[in-house]
Amino acid sequence: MSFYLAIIGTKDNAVYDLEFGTYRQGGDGKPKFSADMKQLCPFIVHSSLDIVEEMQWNTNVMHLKVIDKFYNYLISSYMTAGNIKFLLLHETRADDVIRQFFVDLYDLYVKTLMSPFYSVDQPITSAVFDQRVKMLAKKYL
Amino acid sequence: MSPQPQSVVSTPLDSLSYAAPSRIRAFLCPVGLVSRPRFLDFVCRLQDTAIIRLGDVTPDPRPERVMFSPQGFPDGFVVYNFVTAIDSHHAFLEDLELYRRTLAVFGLADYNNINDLTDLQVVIGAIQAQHPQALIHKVILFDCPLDQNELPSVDFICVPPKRASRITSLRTTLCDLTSALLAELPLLAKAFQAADTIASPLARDDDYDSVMLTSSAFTHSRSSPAGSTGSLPSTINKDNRISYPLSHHTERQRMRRKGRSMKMIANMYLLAGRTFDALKEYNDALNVLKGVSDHLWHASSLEGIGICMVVLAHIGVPFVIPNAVLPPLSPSSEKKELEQPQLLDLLQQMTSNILSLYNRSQNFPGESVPQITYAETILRTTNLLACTTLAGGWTSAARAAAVLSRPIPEVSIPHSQFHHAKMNVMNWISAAQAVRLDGVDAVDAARILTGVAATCGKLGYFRKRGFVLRQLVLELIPRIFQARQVEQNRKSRVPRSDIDDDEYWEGSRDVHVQPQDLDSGVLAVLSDICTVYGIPVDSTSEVSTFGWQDVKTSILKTCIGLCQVIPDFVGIVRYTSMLFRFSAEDLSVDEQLTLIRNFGNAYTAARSMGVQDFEQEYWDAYLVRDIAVVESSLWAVPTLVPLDAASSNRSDSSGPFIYNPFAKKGGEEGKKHLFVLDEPVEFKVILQNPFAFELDILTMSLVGTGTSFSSDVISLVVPPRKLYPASIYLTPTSTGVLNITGCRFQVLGCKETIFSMTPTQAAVTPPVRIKNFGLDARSSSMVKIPSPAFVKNVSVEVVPALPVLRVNRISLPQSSLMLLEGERRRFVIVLGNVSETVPATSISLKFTDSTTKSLSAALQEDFRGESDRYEIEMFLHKRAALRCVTDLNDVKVPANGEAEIEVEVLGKRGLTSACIEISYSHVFDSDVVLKEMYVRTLTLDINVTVNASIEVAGCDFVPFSYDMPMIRTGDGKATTTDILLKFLDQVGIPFEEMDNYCLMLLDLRNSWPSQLAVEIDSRTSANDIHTVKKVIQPGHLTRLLVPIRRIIDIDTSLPIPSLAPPKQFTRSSVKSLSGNVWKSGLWSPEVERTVFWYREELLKVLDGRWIDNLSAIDGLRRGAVELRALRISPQMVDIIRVDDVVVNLSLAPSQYIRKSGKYHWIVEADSFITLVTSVTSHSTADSVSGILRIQPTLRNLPASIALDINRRILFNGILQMPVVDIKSGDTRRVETDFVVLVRGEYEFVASFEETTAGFGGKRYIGREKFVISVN
Repeated sequence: MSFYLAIIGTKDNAVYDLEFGTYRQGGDGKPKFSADMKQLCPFIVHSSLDIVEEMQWNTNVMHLKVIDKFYNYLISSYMTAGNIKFLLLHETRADDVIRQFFVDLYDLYVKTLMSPFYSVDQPITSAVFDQRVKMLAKKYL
Repeated sequence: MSPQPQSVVSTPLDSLSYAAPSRIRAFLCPVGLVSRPRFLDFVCRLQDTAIIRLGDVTPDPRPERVMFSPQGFPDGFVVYNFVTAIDSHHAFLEDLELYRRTLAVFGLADYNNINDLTDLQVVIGAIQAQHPQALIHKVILFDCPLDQNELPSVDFICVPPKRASRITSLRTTLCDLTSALLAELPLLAKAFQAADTIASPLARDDDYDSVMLTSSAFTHSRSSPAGSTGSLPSTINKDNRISYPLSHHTERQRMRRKGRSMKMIANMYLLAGRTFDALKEYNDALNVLKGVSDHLWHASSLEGIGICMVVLAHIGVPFVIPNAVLPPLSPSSEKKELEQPQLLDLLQQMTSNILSLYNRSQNFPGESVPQITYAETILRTTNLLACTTLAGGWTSAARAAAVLSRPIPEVSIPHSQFHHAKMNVMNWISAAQAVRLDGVDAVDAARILTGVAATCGKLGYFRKRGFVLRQLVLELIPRIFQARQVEQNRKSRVPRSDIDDDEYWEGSRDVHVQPQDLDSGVLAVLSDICTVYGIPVDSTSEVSTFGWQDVKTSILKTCIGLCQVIPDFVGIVRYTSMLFRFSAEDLSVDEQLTLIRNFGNAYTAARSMGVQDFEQEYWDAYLVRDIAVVESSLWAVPTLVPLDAASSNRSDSSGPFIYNPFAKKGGEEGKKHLFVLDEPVEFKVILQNPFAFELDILTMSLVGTGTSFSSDVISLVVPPRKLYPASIYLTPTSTGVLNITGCRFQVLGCKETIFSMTPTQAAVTPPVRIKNFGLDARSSSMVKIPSPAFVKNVSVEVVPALPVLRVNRISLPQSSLMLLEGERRRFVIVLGNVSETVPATSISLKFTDSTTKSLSAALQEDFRGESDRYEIEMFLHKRAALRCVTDLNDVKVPANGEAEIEVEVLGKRGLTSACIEISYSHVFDSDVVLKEMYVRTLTLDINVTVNASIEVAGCDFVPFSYDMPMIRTGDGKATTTDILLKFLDQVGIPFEEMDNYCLMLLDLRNSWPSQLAVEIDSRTSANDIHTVKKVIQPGHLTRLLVPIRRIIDIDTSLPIPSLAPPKQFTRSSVKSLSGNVWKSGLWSPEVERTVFWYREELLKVLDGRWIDNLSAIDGLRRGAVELRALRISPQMVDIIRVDDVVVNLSLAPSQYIRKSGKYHWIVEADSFITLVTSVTSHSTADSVSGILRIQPTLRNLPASIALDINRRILFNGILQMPVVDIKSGDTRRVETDFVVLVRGEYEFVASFEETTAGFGGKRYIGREKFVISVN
């Protein structure tokens, strides 16, 4: 199974994105997207922003669960208090695990945000952040 | 929220609205001469009346034509779908979906352009032949004043002009046409009923009967009319085939034919507006088709029932829902009119059923559903649901929108409900999106994807719509490419010699998108996509921080790809420039090179097609990095000089401080450049090219405000990845202030752009912060490029024309000359005026030389004493190396003329080079007193070699003393006194006044390798000058004896003056020393001052010359001896000076005394003698008071004995007495009587101690020893 994670800022801008695979069922953590799909992932995620923006006014929880689908792919979303969107493209439904993943990711994101050298909507280039997200992915997905 | 633009009535009906299959397709074609706008106007008028109520239609009286008589359902209506293009593409679908068939053909003619109506008769025939499947063929004559009866044929219909006719007249015409059409329909119905077989769209004639037997291999090999076979959604499992029992084959065939023909009749009822009958027929057909498992037609009938129900719901007629479509477990709803949610749910349920039936039909080759039908079914349902969602429920507005494509008025809907409904639509949309487009041709793919996109847009999901449209573009690119390949192959089959390039371009031109088509169509779609992804398409000077960078890059590449296959050259140029603007950093070198190559080709092609102005600006807003004036070496830059004293001293009098640290320094920024009228000025423009390709700048020129000027227009190529300085010239054409504001340039493929260095208003005003969510954030995230990239003020003043001078000749070989120290030499400079018109009328010279620098540096060193500083300043400011001899007021250089200037050079030690700055200008009107003037400066360098000549090696001073011992000289002839007397005689000093003079011993060395005659002048009195002459051999040191008159009356209390410009603070050298302990070699300030003033006085009376009359080739060399090299010490000063108060001793005349020298007396013992002490004041003070002391001692004895004179001399009175108030220049005599008792030699010393108000004054002692020898 492969996943595509994108953190989208307030201006539809990608703050961070990552492709990864599962470690379960003998997976090696490498994404297995086809070349076409690899290109398409950002577009799919981007196109579900419409629905995220609509969903956010209908609920008071941050985890919006699966909000969109494209062929066999599902898109789960998490909306932070600062209007930053976490979007995860995945293949099977696993709301609880993804919720935990998002909550921990939010924790990481808030820590990044507290850095005086980081401002909202700026791309996250920290290698530590990248590594921790990968660890989270390994832990949950 | 109403994302769909409010459609006006005249726009074509939505072909994907739910009730679209209930519309009659009517083809409109121009007949005769009709202009395009006229034709479109006619079409619009027809579209306004596209809906005809059956109640208005006159039924056909013929009994065999009553089958679809409008009287059957007067509330019903016929809806025309007017098209202006024949869709031959979907002809194979016409049996299954009759609404795709063109049932009516109307030729639209403009009566004003018709000469002969009989010609049209031929046209009618042609139309009939072209469209045999159409039921009626009519020609509508617009703006026809004739009556219907006057027309030659019933095929002509008259429509009076707009002004003359009421709105209803066209409607009446259409009612008549509808009547005719409805009368023809029964014939078509009969034909269907009589037909042996009614084939499915994808069936082939020959294998129709063996449809169920076909193998899968066969299925793949056959070609469908549209080339579209295969599966629908990816989820379908093709392998799971259902084998169908073949029993009752013939019966089945018969029932199937019957069912299909019933469905056809139902279709016709639906088109004819007889919806009730249609519903009934569909229901019947459904039952039959269900029985024989004809899934495709079954599903189609089911769809028909749905449409009938929606249309009836719209009309508002109660109807009974057929049992067949109701869910099996809801008998209670039977015969009950369904209310909105139920009907809507039922319709969705039906669509699900239809889709599953369609899917099932996939298993039967030849009976399978065409992709487009499948997709359109879903799209129609989504359309219905979208209309319902936007209308806030199953309202009449929603129904009108679904049936007649009426615009939906805005309603406020609770958010959660709205959202829920939208989610439902989205589910259907994802089903439509899931339709595979592999085997579908370009038109169908476009139709499906645009349908999806339209619904997304309606719901406000613009990003989703963008995504679908991008998919559409990606689908189109390979298909268009293929089509063009085919076309090219066809062309290449023509022999090569027959086709030249021009023809090829000519041929391909008609398929290119012409610029006027850019506003609409596929390029508008591209703009739309770009906007959604945060790429501003309208403004070219803004950059949006909105959007996902990678996605933007990808989208722009897609856009370029589409423009390349179309090919749309303007689009390529446009999107390539946008790609460079937004994502240049993401592009690799190869990509950049490819893009720019295509860009260049497209630009050339577009130009050859006649496109002149390209709308996009150059993509890099930071192209220009700097604009600066280049100081010209050719044209000397003029400077402004103040002329009158008031303005020249202004800077000094501007405040109480001489030095103001806050005064603005003339830095580079504040420097004002001066240009001269009609003279070209060079500017340096630094351009950057961060890209990997060469940047072709077609034109570049400077722009500015202020006075008029003409700028050169240059073109250049900026090399890749370089900062490139370009040189550009500008010529001012009138005087005044000229501000260079930027430069104008045109890069290949871009429109002309002005780069401005001045800040724009937009850049200055702070951005307004507005919080926006989602796509609305686009507007607030537009960042204007801080145009300009840098702010600079290049302001120049253009001054009136000035002359230009050159040094034509100089009377020095190679501008160099050799001098001896102290020598003066003159040379001539010949100036030429290059200017054709302007004479140089005001010329001034300024000299600088190599000594200036070292002397200035020496002044900075702080350990020097004040007198040394004065010495350096003296050499720096007073001893000029160069001097102008010619009176410059008389020098004028006429235009194209010449003038001479003579300059004198002084051989000064350390002089190696000199620089003459010749400032010149032109004063137009000499009567006007100018305050300031613009001058040009011409610089002339001269090399000077200064060789040493006569040097002062040292000096000493010897007083003339009467106390000289009488020593014989070596030859035994003369004594020193004799020599002295002889010398005094020579110089004309009387012996008696000898003590007013002293002797200077001056050591001079001749460093020049040739003998020099030296003359030293000494002014001994106001009128007498004594000259000492001597010839000094080369390398020799000679001592000259120069008599000097001793100096009186010098005020040494004055400070040492400074020749430098005044300083605000002068640091006293006293403070730099600790306490009052003077370092060795340094004098106290008082001593230094004294030495200084006496030396100055001494130099005033001395003068020296040398002459070389032997070695000089070019005449006599003569020069001055530099006597300022003299150094004197305080001891020497004591010799030179005459004290302020002089005390003299003498004896009053008496018989007992005899004078043996000036201060030497021989007296007799025990005789009365009077000692006269005279005190003379030379002081600069008005009067002097003090105590006079007389001290007699025994001569030549130790001090302890010498002072013991009490018993040897008797004095009458006291030896100390006050002497007061001696006026300056007066002499006071004091007489003291005494008697010498003991023989011997006595010495008298008199001293005068000045008493001042404070402590101890100066003490003056008689210079000479006063000696009395007593016999």
